[in-house]
Amino acid sequence: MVTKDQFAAAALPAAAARPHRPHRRRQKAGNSLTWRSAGLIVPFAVIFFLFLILPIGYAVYQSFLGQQSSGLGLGPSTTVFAGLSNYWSAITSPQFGAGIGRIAIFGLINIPLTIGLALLFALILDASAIPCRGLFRVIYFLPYAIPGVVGGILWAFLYQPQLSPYSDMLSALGAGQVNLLSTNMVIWSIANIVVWEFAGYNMLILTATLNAIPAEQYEAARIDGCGRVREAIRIKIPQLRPALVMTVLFAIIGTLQLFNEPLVLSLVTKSVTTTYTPNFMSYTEAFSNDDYYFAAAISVILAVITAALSFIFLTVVNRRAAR
Amino acid sequence: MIKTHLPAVWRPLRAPGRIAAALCAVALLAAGCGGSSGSSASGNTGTAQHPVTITVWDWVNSSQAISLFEKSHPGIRVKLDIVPAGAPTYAKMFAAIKAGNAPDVGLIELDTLPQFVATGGLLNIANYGADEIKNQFVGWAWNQVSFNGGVYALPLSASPIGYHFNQTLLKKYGINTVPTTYAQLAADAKIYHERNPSGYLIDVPPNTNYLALLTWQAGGRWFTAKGNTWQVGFTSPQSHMVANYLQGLINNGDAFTDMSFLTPWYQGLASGELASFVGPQWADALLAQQVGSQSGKFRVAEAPQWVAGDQVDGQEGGGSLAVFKDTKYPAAAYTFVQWMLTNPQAQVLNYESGYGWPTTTSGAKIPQLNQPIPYFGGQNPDAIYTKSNQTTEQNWQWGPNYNSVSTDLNNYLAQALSGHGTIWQALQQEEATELQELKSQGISAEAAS
Repeated sequence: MVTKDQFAAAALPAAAARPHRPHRRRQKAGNSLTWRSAGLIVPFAVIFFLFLILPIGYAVYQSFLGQQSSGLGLGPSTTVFAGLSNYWSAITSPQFGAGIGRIAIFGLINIPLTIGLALLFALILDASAIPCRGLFRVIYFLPYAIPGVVGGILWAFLYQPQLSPYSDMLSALGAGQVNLLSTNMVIWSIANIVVWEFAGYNMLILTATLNAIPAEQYEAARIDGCGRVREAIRIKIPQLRPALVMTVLFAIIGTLQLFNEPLVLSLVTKSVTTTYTPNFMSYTEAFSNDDYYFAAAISVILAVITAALSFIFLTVVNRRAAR
Repeated sequence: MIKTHLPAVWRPLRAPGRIAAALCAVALLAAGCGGSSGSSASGNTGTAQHPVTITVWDWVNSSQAISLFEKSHPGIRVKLDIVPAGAPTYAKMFAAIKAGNAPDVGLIELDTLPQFVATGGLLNIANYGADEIKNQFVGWAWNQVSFNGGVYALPLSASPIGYHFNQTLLKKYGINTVPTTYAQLAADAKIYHERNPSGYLIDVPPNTNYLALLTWQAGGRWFTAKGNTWQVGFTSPQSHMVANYLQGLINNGDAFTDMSFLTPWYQGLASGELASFVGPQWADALLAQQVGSQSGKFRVAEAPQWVAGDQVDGQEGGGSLAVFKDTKYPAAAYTFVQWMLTNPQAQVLNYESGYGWPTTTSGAKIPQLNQPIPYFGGQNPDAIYTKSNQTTEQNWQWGPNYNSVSTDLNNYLAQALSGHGTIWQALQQEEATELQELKSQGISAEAAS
């Protein structure tokens, strides 16, 4: 075995020959280490740069460009520097504003429901009294294994007024003719699809954390006369905290990126327009309106909002933890 | 143009066997720029020994016609790429134009054609022989491809319109004469809904193309190129009249308001909730496919008119075949496009493979069109569509960014039909949005006076 220092010294005989200047030697060895670790990092860094930083940089660059023509616009057009005009158009666009409003409402419905249900399922399945735990875990997780678009199509059929068994049930219960795809209902319907998809997935993350809690803690608690509910509140939930923070963070990011479900539903109802969410609007601008520059600006704004919300959430959570 | 053709000149110099092709390319360059007649261009179509290959992006499987073409044109191989219909393919085409790797020929709908012309990615085929076959096409269709001093595609398919109605339901609720005006249609819709509260005679879909059709029929125009300026007319008097008519149906609760040609709409027709609609000829095949349960009950009549006794129709859809500017073999590509539209056998195969109503006068006479349709209880609607195609108002024009128009207006209409505002407000919103958008791109536009 060659230790790290020996290895460094062997690689640098000149430095090793000057033992009276240990400071300098350490520095040299450190430099060489830096180079070697750089060698290890480079493959990652290159890929990271090529496939993440560069595309993001390119999107940011594009967001400052615009297409300029003249007259009837039927001649060739030129690409010009447009300054902040794409950003200004996005911020002042009522459709973009409405989209942001929708995902805000959607987040308020979706995040507590998804995480709440995930926590509930995880705690129930963790209580050993439940038979066939594995089976239930698989059942709850199953929707996540179905591709989002396929899930969307499935629910689109279940929601359609002419086909929906839920509409029939609701009218049998005396709620009248309920259209689950109407303008006011559709956001709940979308939230339902997303909760259905992600509650089980988040449950699995929480379950994994619960499994890591040492059994001694439960034993000690039981000796102290702790019941199942109290055990959940006093032992499990506090230790689930990091996992809960992570799942909420993912849910926030997922909310801002809402796209698949509205896209699929837009094909069956007029309540979902092609600018329903900011992400959908960006897609429409790029791929149906051929305005990549505007789409880039919307994407950048969305990324900034996502980063800001994640940062705020983490700051608030950490501050509370510190207290 | 020069940039495009340089490689074609250069490459054969390294491969002596192809010098002839290089010379042809030079000749073509002269033809394209100098404006000599199409005959000199036709040399660049390859030979049986050295065939050229052109790529076609199409969402209709035209392979039968293509193999026929290859038999009669041994110098040209055609590679057919079947692509998704409409928007996804346009996105790909726009990107390919920018990247300089567009196909040689592509299917583009008439409403989106000006947007492609605006990218500068389409070849002006006037000098390749397109101008000479102008008279073979129906007037309105030719006007859709020739503008801005050029011809940018050949019209491939038309979509004449008719009034599609469920005869059984209309009779059941006492609508015994088919409405011939929109006023009568609205009056009948009221009576029908009174007698059948769970059903509607007519639909008002949040569909920009349908609104365009009604405006077109009313003699209105959304876009008029006046000199170097677009006159934008979403709030023209004709648009106002159409908006009021549709809003009246909605306010009275007499209309089915789901988006046409999507699942809920077909379900409405299948369940009898919706009894009739004004729509294109291409809907016939879709009805048979999607609304099989009502087979034998539907009939087609001439579309209602805005003014009693008038004979003015519009269209809802239609496609064209365009040659992309970056093609290495423009003459070969054009030869293919012209053959597809004018060859008698191709016209039959095109109809059978699903291109829709022909745009040529000869194509409209093929016997396959003139036949009883079992879905319509054996009715032969040929005369109705032929007439609609001939009486289509000639000067309707699409703007330079139809994809944005349809996205925005579809959304505004959807809002209006969901009870947030009116159709007239949607049109006013669209007028403002469109003027702003065109101006922001440096395009000269003003509200039509």
